[in-house]
Amino acid sequence: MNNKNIPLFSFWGVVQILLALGALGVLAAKMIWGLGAVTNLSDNWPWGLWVAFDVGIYIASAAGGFVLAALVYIFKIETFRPLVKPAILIAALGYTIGALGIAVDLGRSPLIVHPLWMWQPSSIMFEVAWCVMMYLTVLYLEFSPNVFARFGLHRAETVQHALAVPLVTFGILLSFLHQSSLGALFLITPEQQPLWHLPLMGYLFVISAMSLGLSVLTIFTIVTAKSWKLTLRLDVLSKVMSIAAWILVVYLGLRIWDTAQSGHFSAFKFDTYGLLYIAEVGLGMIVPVILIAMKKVRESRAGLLWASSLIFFGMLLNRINTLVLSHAVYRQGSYFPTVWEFIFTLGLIAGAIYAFRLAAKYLPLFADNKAGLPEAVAKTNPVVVTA
Amino acid sequence: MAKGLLIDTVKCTGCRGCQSACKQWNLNPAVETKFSPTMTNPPETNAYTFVHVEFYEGTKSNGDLDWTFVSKRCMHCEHPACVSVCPVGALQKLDFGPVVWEEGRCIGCRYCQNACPFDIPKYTWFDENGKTDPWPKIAKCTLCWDRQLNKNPSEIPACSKTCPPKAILFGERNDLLAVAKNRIANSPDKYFNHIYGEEEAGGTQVLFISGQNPQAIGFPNVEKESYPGFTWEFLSRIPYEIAALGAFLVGTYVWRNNRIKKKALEESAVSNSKGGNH
Ligand code: SF4
Ligand code: SF4
Repeated sequence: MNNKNIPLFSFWGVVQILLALGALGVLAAKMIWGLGAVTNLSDNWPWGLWVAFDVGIYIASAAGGFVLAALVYIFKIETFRPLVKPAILIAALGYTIGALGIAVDLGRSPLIVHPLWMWQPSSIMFEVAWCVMMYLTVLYLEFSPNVFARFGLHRAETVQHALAVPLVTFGILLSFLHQSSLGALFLITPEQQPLWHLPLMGYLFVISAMSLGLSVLTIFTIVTAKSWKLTLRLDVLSKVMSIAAWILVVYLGLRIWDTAQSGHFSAFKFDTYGLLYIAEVGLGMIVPVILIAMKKVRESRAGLLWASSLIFFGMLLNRINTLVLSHAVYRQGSYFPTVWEFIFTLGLIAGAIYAFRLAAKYLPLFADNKAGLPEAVAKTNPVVVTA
Repeated sequence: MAKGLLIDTVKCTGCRGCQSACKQWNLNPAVETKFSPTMTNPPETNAYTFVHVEFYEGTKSNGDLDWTFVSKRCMHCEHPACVSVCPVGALQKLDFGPVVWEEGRCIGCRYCQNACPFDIPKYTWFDENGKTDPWPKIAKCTLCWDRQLNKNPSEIPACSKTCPPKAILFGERNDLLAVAKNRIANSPDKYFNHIYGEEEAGGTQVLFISGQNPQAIGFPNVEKESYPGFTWEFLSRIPYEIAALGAFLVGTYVWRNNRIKKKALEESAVSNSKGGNH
């Protein structure tokens, strides 16, 4: 199997390879010279850009995997099947670079295995460590049929098929557990800027991750379809983004209620934090919900791309605010990432995108998506749109 | 009951004896430092300075200059946030008081640095020569747990031992609290009526009394509850939530499966009956 539409060394492909190589370079430098050499972190700012992306963005972006798996395997809504495989692959890649990023961000990276036998169950970080390890395994098992199919391992495929539903169920439980724990990491820092320190922040994290995950899936699907000239199931994507919008509505309701009942709205002022808050909640959450509510937007490719990108922007800002910026109120000094921190962050993302490209080329990733159909076929089937 | 320190800034003369004694006992190297706008030097505690005397300039009621010297270090919380967040148990609270770090376990995640309300755990980002450290350590006051254990009779912490005006008392926390209360009651004109550490973060092993409001001499206004409780509330709910979510997922799956089967049956029944008519 080789999807001829997908080039390995297109312009963006080469950019991705270069960035990924850059990240490898930063990784090597970190291992040799330590965190102090490649980051601007300090005692006042022990966590910075890397953590915001590792635990905030990469892993949260992966939530589309468990939502799609739930829709298709548990709720048995067949409409969404064409997107399950890419969603699970995005999830697996998100977790892979998340875990890699965390490993490099540790002061003593090789000891990342310690939580396996050094247990400290009252630590949320311990719980996150275990969940991420287990869920990574689950994700690769969920993804394995693509590889089995590629190499004709039909017996393995049958076994995997029989286990699919229990695997998916276990995966959903793990996802809930640690996506929420990532938010709860900061329950212990009540000195944070109150707009981002909420009693329910654990639950808010997992709910918002679901919306983010679906948006990332949509962005990926639209962009890859366009650049690799694959057919696009716009009808499915509109439904996906409707779900994302509903989740976002629930999230906003809960967040606003939580902020109000804990009295944290009183911390709102028209200062930097206020502006960040408006950008995050207004531009990145309320505007896309309104956009998606409009039928014309929801049913056009550009509209969907805009809406999903805005949600991505809102969540990005939310994670950076919650994990880094909102801590500034009780810290001295300042922190701005080094160029190496940026290169490593971008390089991980680029590497994941390139891995997606490889999988799309060599594995039956879009087999259910009628990918690469000639235009004539697409025309007779109006729900399939050529890119 | 565990032991701790009572630090009386009214008695402290700002000689920095504790700062040096601590360095000597812990074999901490000298590091290059800058003067801060006040006389505090180094400006903050760092990985090589566990104890650090902060200088606060004020004015007396008659307009004279008034200094307060505050010998800061780890508070050795009774319910330490740092211990509760460490994923590998590298930080431990010993039953006789000290909160200590174990090199062989730490993975360097720096969650303890985020969690400590007093901003205490420091990291050896750089070694004493300013070179970056590829294998960094968490560094903080240990309440001289090794002195307390190793000698017979055991030695009291180096800072307390060395303090010329006896501004740092070492003893049972209860006794220290009694002393503190006594001093405040006996000279209400000299002391601000607050024992910092009595209730802060659920109580700490290190207590401060002073002529100043704690916030005026750089103490953070922390919550009174014990910090591990904040996350424990969340963690302790997890088993129930997972059980509920699991039941919901399995229930939905079974229900949907049955419906789909029933539908299929009905459809085939319809087509069968149609077939019979022909
Ligand atoms: S003051 Fe900070 S470092 Fe010291 S015991 Fe308390 S939480 Fe831990
Ligand atoms: S940096 Fe080390 S001591 Fe601190 S929480 Fe992480 S593993 Fe524990």
